[in-house]
Amino acid sequence: MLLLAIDTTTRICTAALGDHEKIRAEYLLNVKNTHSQRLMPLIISLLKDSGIGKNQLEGVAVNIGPGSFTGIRIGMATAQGLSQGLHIPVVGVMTLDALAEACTFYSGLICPILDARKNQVYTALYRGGSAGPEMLQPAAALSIGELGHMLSAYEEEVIFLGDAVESFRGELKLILGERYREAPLSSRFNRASLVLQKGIKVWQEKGPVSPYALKPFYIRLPEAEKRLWEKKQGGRV
Amino acid sequence: MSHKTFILGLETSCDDTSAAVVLNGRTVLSNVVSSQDNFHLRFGGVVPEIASRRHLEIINPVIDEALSKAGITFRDLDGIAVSYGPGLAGSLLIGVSTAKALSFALELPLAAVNHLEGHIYANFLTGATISFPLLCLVVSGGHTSLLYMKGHGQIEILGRTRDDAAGEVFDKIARALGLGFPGGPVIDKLAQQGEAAAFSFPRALMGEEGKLDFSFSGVKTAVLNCIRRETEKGGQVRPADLAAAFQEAVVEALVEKSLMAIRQKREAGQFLLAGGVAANGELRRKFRQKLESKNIELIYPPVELCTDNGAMIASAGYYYLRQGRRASWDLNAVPNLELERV
Ligand SMILES: [Zn+2]
Repeated sequence: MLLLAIDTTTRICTAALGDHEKIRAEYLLNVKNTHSQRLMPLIISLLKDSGIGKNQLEGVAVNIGPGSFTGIRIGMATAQGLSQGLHIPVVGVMTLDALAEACTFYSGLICPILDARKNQVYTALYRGGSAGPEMLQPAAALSIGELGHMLSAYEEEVIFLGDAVESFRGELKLILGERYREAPLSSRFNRASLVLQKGIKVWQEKGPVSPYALKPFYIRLPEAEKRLWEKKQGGRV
Repeated sequence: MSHKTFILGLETSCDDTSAAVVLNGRTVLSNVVSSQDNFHLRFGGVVPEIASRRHLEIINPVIDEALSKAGITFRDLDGIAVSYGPGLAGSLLIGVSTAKALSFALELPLAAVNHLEGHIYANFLTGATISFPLLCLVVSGGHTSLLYMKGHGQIEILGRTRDDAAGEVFDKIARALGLGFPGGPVIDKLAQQGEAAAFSFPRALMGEEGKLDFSFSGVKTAVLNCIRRETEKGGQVRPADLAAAFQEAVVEALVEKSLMAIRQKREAGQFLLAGGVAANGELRRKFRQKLESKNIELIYPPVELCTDNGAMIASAGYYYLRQGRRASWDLNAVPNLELERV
């Protein structure tokens, strides 16, 4: 089952090709250029360099969020377009699920944190294991204080990964003390091979979907809708 | 390209998701437009984040519908065209990303169409024979420009608005009158029951004869002040009269500048109207009336092709591709894209 995996939900633009036995190719760019400019050329060179024709692809795996709203949509629109044009199904992967795969060998708690701006992180909590990370807490947008509070219910060490580690390392160390762990550099960031790895699992467990059925996972409402909702709540009191 | 050329056109620059199939740049085989008006109504305007989310949800089914309505499949296509600007960045990116992925998957050439140029090409879908050189007035929510075209892709900008676009002013006045959104169609309808002579507003004419730029901030301010004055007085201002007077002021300015352009460019044999405001009934009527005696043919698209649609993008894309103007894989959305001067 040869899959193309893509992820543009963070600043990293990454794509990989492979199946359950092999990663055939993987590219990753962590530079300033926009995903919209980078993603298609990156996918095209990935196929060309690995000598794989686009018609050999059997599916597309894509990160559906949480992450940058625009980033989610560039990845998904590209995946949906490829899926529609090549007549192959897609599989959506939750960004934090894919990231947690990087530390699945870790026996303690795994806590991916992604920059969600507004002094919050997109996060979820997993326990590592041979069958893959098991989700303990669902995805949410939390402040570091709220995350610390959530983690105080556990006693094990927690390994952190994701692009928000750099910004919140200090605060998290203060909250968790000896329990704080950090994934090594090569396992700390989004990469398409993780989307592939998780995508194959989702494919086997739930099956792939048509490009029309894929749903993004924003977590947050659009600002305008949130304000309207808050106004209504206020009005009711 | 074969003599039967099918182009798929995608348009997502604002809040309408549209896909269309056009034959040989001239014949609309399908033009599916999914309006998001209902999603934005309660916010009194287009919310970019909501528009982007909606585009992503429906673009693929809209494309399928366009193909099936045209009675063709992906295999019959000869090219894909997408508008890449101007417009809302997040919205444009859905069309651009989808178009690039489809064009790669289907091995089809891709045309990146300037949305404003797309509006002009709605005139190529009217059945009329279009011949260069021609003059064109593009009036929409975001733009007001007078153009001279010597050929495909050869655009000379004769004048443009120095401040608000005509359509933008319609929206603002409609909001001030509590008429809702979008403003163009509601004012057009209301004005039919009004008396334009009830008020006198300044025309949007700038400077001396020969200068073809527009300015609408003057008339906008005058109308807004008038609404405020009348409400403070508690007087009986008839919104229909106000709408009619305001509309007349804007339309007259557009007509006057267009007549100046016609006098300057005597070689032009046709005058095209384009853009959302070209759907305005009063605008069409005034142009018909004023150009009747002139030695120039007036052409404008049917109402459904004046507003944003994929068919006009497909038509423009057909001519782009015939000229070899293919987009590259690193195509990006350009929210502030302008019409280029030549
Ligand atoms: Zn438009």
